[in-house]
Amino acid sequence: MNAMTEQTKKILIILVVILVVSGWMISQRNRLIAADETVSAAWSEVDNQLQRRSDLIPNLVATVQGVAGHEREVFSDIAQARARLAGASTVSETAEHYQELQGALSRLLVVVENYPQLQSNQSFIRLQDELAGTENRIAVARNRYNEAVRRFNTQIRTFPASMLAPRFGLGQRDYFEISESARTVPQVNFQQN
Amino acid sequence: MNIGGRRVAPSLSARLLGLLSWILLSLVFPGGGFLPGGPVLGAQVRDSLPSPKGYVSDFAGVIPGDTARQIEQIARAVADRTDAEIALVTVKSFGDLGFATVGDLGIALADAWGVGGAGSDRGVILILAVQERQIRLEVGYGLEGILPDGRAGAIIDQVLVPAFQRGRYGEGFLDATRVLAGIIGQETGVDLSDAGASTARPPERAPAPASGGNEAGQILVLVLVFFLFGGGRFIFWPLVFGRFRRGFYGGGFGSQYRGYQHRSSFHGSSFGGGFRGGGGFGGFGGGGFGGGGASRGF
Repeated sequence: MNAMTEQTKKILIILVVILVVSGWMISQRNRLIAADETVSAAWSEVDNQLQRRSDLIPNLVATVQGVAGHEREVFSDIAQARARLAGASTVSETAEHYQELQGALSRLLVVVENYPQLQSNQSFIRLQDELAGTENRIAVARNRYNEAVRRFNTQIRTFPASMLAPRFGLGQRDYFEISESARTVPQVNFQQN
Repeated sequence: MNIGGRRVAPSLSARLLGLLSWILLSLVFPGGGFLPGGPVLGAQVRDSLPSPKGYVSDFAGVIPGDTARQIEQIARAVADRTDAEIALVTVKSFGDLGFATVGDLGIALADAWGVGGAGSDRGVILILAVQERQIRLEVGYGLEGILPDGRAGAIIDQVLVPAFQRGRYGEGFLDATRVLAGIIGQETGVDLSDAGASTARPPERAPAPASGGNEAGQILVLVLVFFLFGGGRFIFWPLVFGRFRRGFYGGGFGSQYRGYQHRSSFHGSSFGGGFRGGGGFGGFGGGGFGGGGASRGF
């Protein structure tokens, strides 16, 4: 009898422990998945804003082409970079082609400086504002994405989640990294008089 | 059985005990990774940001007192009668606050203060950095539809820059507040004109004339004629802006962005940080911003 009670006690303890452990693991899993989803949501906002900028480009190019149609090189650079960005599938690919497009667009803005008539063109100024605003939105979305990635990566690399994350199939997420030169947002600085 | 059970049980329970204390320890010391989503900014930057003094936060001290009170009145009427909030901020220098551009300061203030309703995100922040001579109009998600970047730029160019270039900061801010209140009132169908909202047509970018200067000259003559005969306001403006508005809201430029103006729950939960408290001022609603708006030097 004594032995039986002892054994029952042990079984009970083991059951309680299993219950606590599995409950704890489920809550860990939910936390990690929520953080992972936050990263995904932040990425979709980056993607959104990149798409928004890509949609803006045909209008911008058409306006500039009206007065500077012979500057073919810069237009084809933009078209190519835009197509490559659209085809990017990973975060690092996107970051790379994002910078290419950024570079092509800043070359376009340099070209534009040789055409004073463009700088007083109201619809061009409006497009420039939209472009600068979208660049800024991309920067904001990128910061928020990187912050979400930092949070998530810290979480899954910190004990005890570091032991569980691989079992849940969760790995580190990539940062949207850009070089320092591409960090500057094109500035619009037209003086109206 | 008994012997086997005795042999296994101690080592098993010892292991389980170890695991249990491991779990307990991790619960007691959860570490940074367990904290739910918080502010975007590093804590230090956020702490160095000033708290809002009201709808007008004249940290640089460039707005005359009675003008500031007038602006407060208009902004309060906008906040009370619509769900939109207007915040005005002047700083001596964004560089001193640790920001690289006026836009960086803008989004930091937007995240910290949460101007606009928490769900509607209808907030707008107007920022002047006196030393750097930079202006930023930061537009919340919910106002991006009526204040697209191009229009934000037009407001800065046509209302703020001319006044600021003459050093008349209060005047520029007051006019801009009237214009913003007018746009918000018009869009929400709330008449704010008694509170000082502008009833004139807000600044817009007219579509560019098809050809060069000659046509522009002719239009200028037409404008002058209309204004000379006193009918300019009623005849000329609809001609220009009527056409533009159709294009803008209907088919052309604006509509393709409608799809982007959705707002994911992500911003609400993690980043639409609301501001509460502060001496005498109840704080803003907690609206979210995505970096829309325009910046200018003057």
